[in-house]
Amino acid sequence: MMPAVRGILLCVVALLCASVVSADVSITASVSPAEIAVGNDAILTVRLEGKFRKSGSPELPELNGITVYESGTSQNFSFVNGQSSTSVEYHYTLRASREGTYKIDPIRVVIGDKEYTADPVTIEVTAAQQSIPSPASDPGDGVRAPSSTDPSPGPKESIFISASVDKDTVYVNQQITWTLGYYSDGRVTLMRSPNYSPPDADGFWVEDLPPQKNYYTKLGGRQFVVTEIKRAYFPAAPGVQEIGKARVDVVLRGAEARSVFDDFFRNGGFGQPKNLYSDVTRIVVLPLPQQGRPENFSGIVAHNLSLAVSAHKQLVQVGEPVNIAVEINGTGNIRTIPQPELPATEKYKVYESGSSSDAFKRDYTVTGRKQYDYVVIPQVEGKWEIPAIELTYFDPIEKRYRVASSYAVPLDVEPGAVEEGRKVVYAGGGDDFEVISRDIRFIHSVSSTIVASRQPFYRSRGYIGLNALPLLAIIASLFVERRRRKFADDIGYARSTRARREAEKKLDAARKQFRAGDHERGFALIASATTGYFADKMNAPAAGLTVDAVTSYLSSHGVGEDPVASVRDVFNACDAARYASDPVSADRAEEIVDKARAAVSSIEREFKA
Amino acid sequence: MTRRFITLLLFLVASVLTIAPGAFASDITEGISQANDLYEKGDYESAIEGYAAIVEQGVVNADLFYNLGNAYYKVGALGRAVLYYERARRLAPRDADIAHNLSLARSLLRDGQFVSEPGKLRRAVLWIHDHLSASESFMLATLLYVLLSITIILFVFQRTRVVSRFYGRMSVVSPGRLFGFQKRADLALAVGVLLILTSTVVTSAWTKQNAETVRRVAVIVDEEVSVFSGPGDDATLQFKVHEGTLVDVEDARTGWLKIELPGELTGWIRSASAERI
Repeated sequence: MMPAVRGILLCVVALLCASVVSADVSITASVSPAEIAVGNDAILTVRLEGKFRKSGSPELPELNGITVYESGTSQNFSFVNGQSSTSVEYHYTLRASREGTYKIDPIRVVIGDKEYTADPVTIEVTAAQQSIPSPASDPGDGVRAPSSTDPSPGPKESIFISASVDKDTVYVNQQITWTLGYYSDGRVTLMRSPNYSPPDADGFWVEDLPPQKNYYTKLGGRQFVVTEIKRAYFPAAPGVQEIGKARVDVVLRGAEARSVFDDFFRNGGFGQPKNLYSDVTRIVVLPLPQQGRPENFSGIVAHNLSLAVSAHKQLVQVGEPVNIAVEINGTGNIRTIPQPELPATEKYKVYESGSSSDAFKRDYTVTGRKQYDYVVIPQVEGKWEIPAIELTYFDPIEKRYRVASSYAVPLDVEPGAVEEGRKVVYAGGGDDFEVISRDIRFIHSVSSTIVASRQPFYRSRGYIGLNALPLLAIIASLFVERRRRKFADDIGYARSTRARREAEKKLDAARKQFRAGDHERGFALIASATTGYFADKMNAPAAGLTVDAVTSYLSSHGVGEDPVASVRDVFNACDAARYASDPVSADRAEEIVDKARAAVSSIEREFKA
Repeated sequence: MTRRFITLLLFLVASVLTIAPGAFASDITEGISQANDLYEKGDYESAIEGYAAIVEQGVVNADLFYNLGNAYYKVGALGRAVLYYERARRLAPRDADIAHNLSLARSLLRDGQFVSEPGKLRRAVLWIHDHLSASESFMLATLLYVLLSITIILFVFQRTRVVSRFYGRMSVVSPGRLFGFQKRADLALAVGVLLILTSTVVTSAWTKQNAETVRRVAVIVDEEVSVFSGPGDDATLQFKVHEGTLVDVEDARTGWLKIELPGELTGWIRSASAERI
């Protein structure tokens, strides 16, 4: 198709599709669990699904009494039957500080120039089990006891950071919870919020663990306000691995400042910058044990892994695609779980069609869900199953290899339609007729008259040249028709144009008459030729045309004297010959014919000039 | 004048008809026969070498492409099988064997969902376009062009006695008579109808020739091909396509092709991974 035509068709198709695309986006919001105690967390999930490429972030309404932390997104992109679809999930951690029933108003998302809203969701917050105490009201009870990894600050340190891990010996891909504590005893004030830079962690998969925690603790007899940030680290290889130094940049107003002026003159009014560093944390990463390792172990490290396989429909026809979802849930770095293989059989064909993953962080532990999608095309009719899938994994909590397995998925496959809308009848085939298998058709034999061309005929110059001929014919026809019309409409032009040809015809006839010996007839023809020629040129009747009339006509048209004289000679010679008593010789007759022809030619030239 | 015109005409006709030297054609025929023998003996690899050697000489022939596609199919190279079936189909769009084998090869593709078949409306509207090869389209276009030229010449000479007499005989088959058209209107109608038909077929023919020249459609010939967000190994891997998938080539850089799949999926692949039809 020509690009322009194709472009128009595409525009039409695009206009038709535009409404479909925009109408295909759905948005849902959910909270899990729907009921929590004050100080506990719930996960709010906003899910977008449909045909779109980019979306804005969800706009959450104001929630008095609930603090919202972003805790990641997951995106899934799939292609099925040539159609692409996208699903994006935005996860938020909700922490309630007051009990009550909270209605989260419709969450808005803008995709393109359209706005979509989710249905409102409700979360129930019950009374607190234990809230963070205020030091003013009850400092003793509110102080958290230092752990074994709690730092022991020197007497002059009013502000410092300290990193710790929940365990220093783990297996490969087992979670380590790294905690960075920011301690301040309140004797210094900051000119702006601290700036935190996470540590380098080559050789680890890292997940942030929101929300940050605030509490009070006593160290060395002094009370500190502690802000904790947590991260999950999953070591990728065995050996001694290092989590680098974290850095917190602060700008102090002045530790001993007693007034604004005192601080200004001491620190120049811009504060005193200070960089706080944590220690490097060393982790001993153990390799997975060899003992009991299954042969088909694929390196998955997780806790409480579960596997579920589902089909979007179980009653199908041969050749009809079935969407199969393999969902894996568990605790650990679930995103890294490799794709399980659907057992191959001759009963179906399998195509991979996409994957998606989500990570959840509850109680600072990473759990996750990974889904692999397949399209299965049944090849055989009957009732049969897609066999169960097994995944072997290492459980670092139980320190042993375990197997997660799914159930088999039963399918009821009916015979497929032979060809849509067509009933094929094989003569004599009857019920016994059966197509055993299908193969390609055999090669073509070579015709002896094969035209082996390096280039098709329509690219040859000859063909392009031939195509010019009809166009030339049309142009010629226009020219001819124009001339024909002029001939028809202008008698004088027609006579003038034909005059010479007519005269020459008569002169040829006269010559023949002379050679045949009929001189009288010959001279009559010469007279007719010359008189007729000038009558045509003058568009006047030939009868009664005199030599004087001709010569005066020629003179008035600017013809020179010599041609006029030659015309007069011809007329005189004819008259003399016709009316002479003695017969004129054959040579003389031929000479007069030649003179007449020369006179006509010279007059013609004079007119053209 | 007339003699010169006839001489020129004869020269042009001779130029068109003397396309293939006889010796060259017989060599080709012999080469394809030998490759066919190898195919029949089951030596598909050698048959591929034989057919490919002829293709490399620049020979364009539907049977040759079809046989080469069959040989590739037999050795399991589905991508190249589809490539040569598609090339054969362009030259012989009504050949049932080519259509059957192409359909069978497509049914075995891993990316079967990317094969986009035209809709019924498009098939109905563009029936002639889809059922004629480029050569046939140009022949039909030439025939219509000549008819159009003759009709225009008749229109020009409509006042002459010869044309009036000719029109008197031919107007029996003229559709304008049904509407009571006079000679002038009738001839004008014939010119208009032929002009539309000729323009349509010429457009179809030029589109086919343009497709052969630009070669915008390609077939993935490697088993699995990574599609990146840009022309370079450091670009983001977006998705993968598999052999036999038809892709539209949108752009080309040194060693890279920008491809588009149905569903507006685009990306860059190494140019060696696909061959233009």
